[in-house]
Amino acid sequence: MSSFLQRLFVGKLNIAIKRGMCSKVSIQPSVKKTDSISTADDVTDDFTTMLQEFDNRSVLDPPLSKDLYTSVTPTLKPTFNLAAYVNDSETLQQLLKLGVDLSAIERRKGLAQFVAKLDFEKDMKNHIRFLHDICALPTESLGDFLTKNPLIFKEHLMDLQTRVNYLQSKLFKPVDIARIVEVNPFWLMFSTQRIDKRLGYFQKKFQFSGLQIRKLAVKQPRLITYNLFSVERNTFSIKEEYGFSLDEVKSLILQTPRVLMMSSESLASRLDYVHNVMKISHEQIVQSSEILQFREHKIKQRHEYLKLLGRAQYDPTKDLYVSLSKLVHGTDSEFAMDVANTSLREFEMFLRQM
Amino acid sequence: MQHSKLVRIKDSSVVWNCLNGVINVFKPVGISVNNVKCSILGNLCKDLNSLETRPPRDRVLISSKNPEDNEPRNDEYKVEVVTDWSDHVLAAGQRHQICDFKFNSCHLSRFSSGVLLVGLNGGTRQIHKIKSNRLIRVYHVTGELGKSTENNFPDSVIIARAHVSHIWPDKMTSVLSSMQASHQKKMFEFCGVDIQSNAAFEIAKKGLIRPTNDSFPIPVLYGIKCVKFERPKFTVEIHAINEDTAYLGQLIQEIGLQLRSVAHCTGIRCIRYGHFTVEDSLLRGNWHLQNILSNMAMCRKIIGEHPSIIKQKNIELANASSQ
Repeated sequence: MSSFLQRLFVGKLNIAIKRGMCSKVSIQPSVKKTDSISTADDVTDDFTTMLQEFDNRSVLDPPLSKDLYTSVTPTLKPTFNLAAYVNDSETLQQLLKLGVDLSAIERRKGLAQFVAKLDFEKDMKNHIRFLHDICALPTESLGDFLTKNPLIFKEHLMDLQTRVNYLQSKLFKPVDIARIVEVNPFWLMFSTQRIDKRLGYFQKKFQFSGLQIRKLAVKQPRLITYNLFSVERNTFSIKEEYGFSLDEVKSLILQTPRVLMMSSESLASRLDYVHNVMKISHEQIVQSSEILQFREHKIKQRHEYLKLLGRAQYDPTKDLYVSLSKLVHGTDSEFAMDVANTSLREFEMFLRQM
Repeated sequence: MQHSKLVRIKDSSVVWNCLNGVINVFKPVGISVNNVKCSILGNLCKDLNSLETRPPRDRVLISSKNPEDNEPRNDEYKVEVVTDWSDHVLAAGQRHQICDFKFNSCHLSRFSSGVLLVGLNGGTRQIHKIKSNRLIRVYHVTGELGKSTENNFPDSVIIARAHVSHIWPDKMTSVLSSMQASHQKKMFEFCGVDIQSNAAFEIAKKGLIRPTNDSFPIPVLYGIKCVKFERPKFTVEIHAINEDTAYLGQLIQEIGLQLRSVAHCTGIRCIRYGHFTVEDSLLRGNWHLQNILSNMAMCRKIIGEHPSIIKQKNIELANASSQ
């Protein structure tokens, strides 16, 4: 009796969702939803007749069945976040124990609905085991991985295995595969053909050798699956607008793959400042390319302070040479003491003049 | 002699309760007040969450002793206290979030830098009072002679060029002092009195005259002098109320015209806001919990020493529109 009633409630609820009466109701853990009824209209009729029967009964009459009042729990109510279902759902609790941030998942559209419908034993266990055993993903980073990409549970295990096999066939070491999967949780979502195309694209565009492309993929796995428009735009900026030669571009990318993933405006303004204002040659930029990873205001503040002191000398062949990596690395006090040879107070006084 | 005992606070809620007040922030050039807000609040949340936060609450769970038994009797229920998973940080979100903060600040445009007063939580009301009190702001405005641009700032097109070789600091000073005199005369005109009369003396005795028409605030300069002159660049120090970026741009252009040349504004730096000076301001790299708390304590001390920042007693706010 109770299970039947429960089923009716769920059916009724589904109809309500279909008609758009409740907006957020579609988040429903699978435990309650597995046996929803497809023939919605028949059920509605049954349900209304049954409700009428209940209405006609006096409240003073003894209950029809005792079990109706003891084990029927209220159905889950519509909610705006997954936290409301966590206490009722074993699956969500398991995810919490793995360190998955449900509050981050529900911020992205549609993911909360997907995660709520999953079942730990059926949908997740094998995938998690696969990630841990085959991909050698460390347990601590499993939570981060699943927070970023819960859609991995949608993929078939066979497909995932094929994608890992592809990487092995391309001579990636197991350590490299672990790093790729850890740093870029979306890598395994890409089909083998697509990854192959992407690797080929980078190899052809920058004329990398097999070893170099593997190094690039391991150093910055997110670059391979990154938006190609940004890659094209930044390559154009470096090559055509700032006139780096192909060899320079190659070593720049191998050292700092992030330059292809930056917004084109910030890349252009940094290159402009470093090359045109600080007068640093292409070769030197390539040598200490990490300077492009730092925000422009940081480079600007420090360069102008050194210029004021007369110490802005970036030529290694001359006296009082300041290396570019020393210029940007380290805190303000380290910079003021070690590089500029002044006190932090004086540097801060200077910053307040800007 | 008694030493105060310093205790390291680990609990984030204690710190959160202390985060009420005004802070004095140095706004760099090129970022908007909204950028400042995002980065300060983001840093505060990160630092607060890295402290000890509240553990998940417990909840009372009533269930039948035997899960297979569908018809439990009253004495067979099990009552236990379990962790409420829905209150876990990973499910409910971080304990301290940006939307928990109340934020209010004085205004500085994207182009200008310097002292920016920011009110957090309880301090938002103080900021509101400070704003309606019209404290004097002091600016260092840098201009460049010889070029005039469309909006008086360097980011637009140049519309005129002129010679600058005839301009010397003494000429600059005389132009600036005549400007200052005309503004002082204007102040008394707002009040409807003759500057030579006794009524004007009575008003001047009470302090500065500050027009407060909220819908159309009239900028008033109290002092303007040249602090640096390296032709074609020059820096003037301006004491003013009710001014804004566009007005300062126009002022620089006017100075250029008075000097028989043209000029545009290349930088605006607010060095003082009432009693808050740029030396005490918090630089961009120091926008973290510890520094913000100590800066807040310092600002509280300044407000305590000068209650006129919040509440003006003896100076009338002259309403220009009613005169």
